[in-house]
Amino acid sequence: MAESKRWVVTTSGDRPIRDIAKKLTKTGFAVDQVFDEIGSITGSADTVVVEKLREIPGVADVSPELSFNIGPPDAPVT
Amino acid sequence: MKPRQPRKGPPVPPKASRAAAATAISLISSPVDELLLAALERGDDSMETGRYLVTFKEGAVEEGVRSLGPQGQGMRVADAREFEGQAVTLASVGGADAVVFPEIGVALVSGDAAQARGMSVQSAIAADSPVEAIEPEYFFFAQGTPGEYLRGFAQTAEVNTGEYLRGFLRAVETIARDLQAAALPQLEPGEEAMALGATWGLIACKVPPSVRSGAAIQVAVLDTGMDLGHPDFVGRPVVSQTFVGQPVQDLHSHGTHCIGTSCGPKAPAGSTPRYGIGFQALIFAGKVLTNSGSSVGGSVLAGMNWAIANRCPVISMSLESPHSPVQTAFTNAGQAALNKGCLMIAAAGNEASPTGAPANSPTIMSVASLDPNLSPSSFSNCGKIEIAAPGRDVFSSVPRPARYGIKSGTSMATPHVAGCAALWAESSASLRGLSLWRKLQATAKRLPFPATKVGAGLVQAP
Repeated sequence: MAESKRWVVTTSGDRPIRDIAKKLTKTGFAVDQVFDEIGSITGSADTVVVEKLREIPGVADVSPELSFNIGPPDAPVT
Repeated sequence: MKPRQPRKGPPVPPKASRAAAATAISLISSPVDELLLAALERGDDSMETGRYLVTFKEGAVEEGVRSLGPQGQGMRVADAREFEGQAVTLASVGGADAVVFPEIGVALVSGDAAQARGMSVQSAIAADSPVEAIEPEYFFFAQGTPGEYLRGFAQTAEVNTGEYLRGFLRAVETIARDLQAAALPQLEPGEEAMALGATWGLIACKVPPSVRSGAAIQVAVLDTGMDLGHPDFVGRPVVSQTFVGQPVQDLHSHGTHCIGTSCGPKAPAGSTPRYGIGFQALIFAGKVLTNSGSSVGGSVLAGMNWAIANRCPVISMSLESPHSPVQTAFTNAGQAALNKGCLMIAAAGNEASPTGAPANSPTIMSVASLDPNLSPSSFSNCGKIEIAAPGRDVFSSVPRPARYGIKSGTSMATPHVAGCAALWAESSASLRGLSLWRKLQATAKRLPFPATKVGAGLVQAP
């Protein structure tokens, strides 16, 4: 089985985000957080599931979750 | 013997290796640039100077000093107490093998004196020895040193330690040259700001003459949190929330610095210059970066969601995922913000490369960094840039006990724009979302550089 990774699902805004979150869960996406103000949902799934997520009506995009790092407190440029 | 936990000593870089120290020949009086050259010549990426720091056990300093001296290891020992005010300059200790700093219970031992006596970090230390630990001395690079040092560093910081040392060395030479040629005393950024009563950044943005204070404007700063007990923010209402599972209290300093610039006081106590813009803004401190300065997209999205849910007209994000393509989730979040009368302002990034996420989203305002001469900072990203602001040598608040510090980066430019945005938002209730974005660009001071570097120009207060 493919490795599970973290993803951000962006919704198209034309359907209730809670309904989309339910469909994502049914499809095998482990929903972490639902952000209704900005229309995105975070969670984890393997790449096989992710392909299926992209077919769900109301899903605009599925992208890997990014990481951020501003460096240590004494970083000369931050 | 097992490596001992250092009790006192300099911060230890995480990846430091101790392997190279054995070959070092490093005198107490060696200037830093000689030590750096020696480190370069031995291809040493460990950040070790080749000298050693010997820490004495509590109450065993005198015994420790004797153990190094003629009755013990036979070293020529200089004692800080022999110097006026215990202010030792290492260049003045001549041929000493060691310098003792009794106040902190530490001795600095030269590389060859240590080597000749078989002292190393691997040395076994007897239980009854006055010595607690022997550690390598590391190069220590002061944060916020102005001028060429940072410039040299910024160009090389991304590469590797060897490059880093080379960049630093160039800078040391420049500083040495500057010092020799210093017919006129050069003011450091903090001193300069003190003389002017405000930081160079605030003056460049025309903040001091502005009648606006950001009163009642909610400014969300999504960062490493805030020092909630900082004396400059006593009595200020602060709404705070963490999204990383750590308390909001800022143990990093980045968040407190950014909040200082965007929302710091009009008149800090004592001789501290004004460094803050929206001094009556309502602070929303969202902790989306951990105390180590890292984060994931989910935490950042959670912070954005929170700031928009609270209808903060200004949302400042001094964070970037370098070299990341445009993220739909951030673009949508930016659009959601604009739809709800909020404006997201983000740092372009510091890799001297194309703008990273989330600032590369078309719905999020991207901020480039300027130097005090109002030219783009060498590190500043370019491409998708909406506006520019002071980002080099920025003086602002940091957590206690230091309270103030100087940082550089597009992270520091971003809260200058956020602070000015709060002043504009206060000036008219119609200036929200996209109209606030347009106002900031329309009123920016034009600069003789391409828009891909500075966008509409230097942000200006109303």
